[in-house]
Amino acid sequence: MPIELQLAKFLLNHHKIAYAITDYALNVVELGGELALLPPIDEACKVGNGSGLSLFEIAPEIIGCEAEILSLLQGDAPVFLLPLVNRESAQATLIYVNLTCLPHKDAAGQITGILHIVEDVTTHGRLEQRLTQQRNELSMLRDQLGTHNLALTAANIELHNLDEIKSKFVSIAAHELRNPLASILGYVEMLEEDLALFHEEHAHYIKAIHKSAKRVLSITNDLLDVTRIESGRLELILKSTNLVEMLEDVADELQPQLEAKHQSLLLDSTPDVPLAFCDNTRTFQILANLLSNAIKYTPEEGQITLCLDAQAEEGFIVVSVADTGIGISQNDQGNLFRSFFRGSNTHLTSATGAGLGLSIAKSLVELQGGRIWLTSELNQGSTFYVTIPIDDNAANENASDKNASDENRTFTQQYD
Amino acid sequence: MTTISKKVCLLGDFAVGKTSLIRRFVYNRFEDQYLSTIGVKVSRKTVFVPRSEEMVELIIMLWDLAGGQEFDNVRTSYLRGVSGGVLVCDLCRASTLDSLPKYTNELAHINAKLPLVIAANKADLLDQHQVGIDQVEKVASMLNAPYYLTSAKQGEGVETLFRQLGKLLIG
Repeated sequence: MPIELQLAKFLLNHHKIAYAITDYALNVVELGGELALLPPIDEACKVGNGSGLSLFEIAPEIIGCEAEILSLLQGDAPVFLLPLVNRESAQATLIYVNLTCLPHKDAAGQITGILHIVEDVTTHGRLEQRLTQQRNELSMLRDQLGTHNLALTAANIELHNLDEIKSKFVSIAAHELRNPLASILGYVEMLEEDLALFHEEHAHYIKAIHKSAKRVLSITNDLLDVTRIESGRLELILKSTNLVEMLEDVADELQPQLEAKHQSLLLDSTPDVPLAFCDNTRTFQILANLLSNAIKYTPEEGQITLCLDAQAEEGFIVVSVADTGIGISQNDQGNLFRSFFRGSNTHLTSATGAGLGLSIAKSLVELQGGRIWLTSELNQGSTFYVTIPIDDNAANENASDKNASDENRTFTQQYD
Repeated sequence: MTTISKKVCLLGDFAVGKTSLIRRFVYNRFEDQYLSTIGVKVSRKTVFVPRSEEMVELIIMLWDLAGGQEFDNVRTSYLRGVSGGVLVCDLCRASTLDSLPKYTNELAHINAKLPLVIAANKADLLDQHQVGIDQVEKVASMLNAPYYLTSAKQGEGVETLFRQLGKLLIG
């Protein structure tokens, strides 16, 4: 048996291939191989070697390609291919076939018709289909993401603009409030100097006006701080600062509130606290806010501890403010540093506030390169921690002096 | 009655709805699930089109070709012998309208005077449209092809689209 014939038989037996031979008029004269690959045709025709069928009936995909078939018959073209043709099997599943048309020649080499070959490539086709499907779906997802991204960017710009308008409004309003407030406070303080001249009831009114005016001034100052921070217009003047002295000043400033609630304040410190590198005014503001909160939320005769620790975190001084107050729930702790947030249990105390202090403190701490956090349990009290950068230059300069000193004392001071 | 057979190719980016348009036109069915076409799927539909004083039986061989750049090379081999083209875009994806001139060029390599129609598909998904009718009009005018708003899902415009192409094919 010639090798070509052996090869053809092997291919027909081991690969899903159907074939048809036509005469010159494209009428099928022979059908063979895997006939299930052909479109639905009359079973009788299959049995009868396809007689009575035309090439276009067993390969309707070739309709419209008559010119190419004619070229094959005339010997002008060697082959006509249609790869990856989708067909439906008898079981109504999608199959993929490659269609090939060749000139069919007789023994004398004369073209007598067309040899049409149908090769099943479903396995390959399904893999390629899956790959294509995934690629297309990914591409559509990417497009959708791009569209959403554009929409989000536009919304973000809009929000940013609105936020700027809000900040401007708040800033202008706060500025406009401050001037008349300063005037009110000035007159009230003058009246307070001569309080003895007033009837007791009126003196009480004057004190109440003073207290409220100071509170409104505090809120307007906080609002101005928020707008400055949000708009990036807050300027810090960083310099070497003695935090021990600053804590003493903070304690002195809030002494009246401590005394009013008969609370005790303990100042504690690790030895040799180096100088910090921070903005004096803003750091004072942060520490005063934390101590003020501790006083507000600690019951009468409670204890508050201010602590400086220069060894807990490299490069930073950790300042902690611990109270024995009402504590903060786990849920509230996550929101505590957001603007205008007030703890869910603050109503249990008489403390007032706009919920801006901690938000401002957080921003100020972070602007100086530090961080702020807390630990708290309900009814067990809270401890707020703030890190403030150490002044590296001052620390290096003082290192030799401190080594010479034989007295490493722990700073502890009690306020009652 | 005269019977004429014509090969019509549907071209457009992937997932614009070429397969769905053919399924709606030939079988009056719609499937919501997207299944990418690879290679080619040939379907047949016979329509009767008036010509002068007679009705012509037109057998349209609809060639549903794989969309997307990956098939740019093989697509040319499927286009031989084409008599008309349906250019399909998705009104919900602006890039698919931008691609239509590329497919027109591919057809023009076969025959510069092929009758063409544009299907602006997914007309039912109004809230997701990225393409305005004026944009479709502009492209249609540039490609010298009539356009039809179609919805393979609801059937809107599909029959009209193919019938108009039928008239162009035998005209």
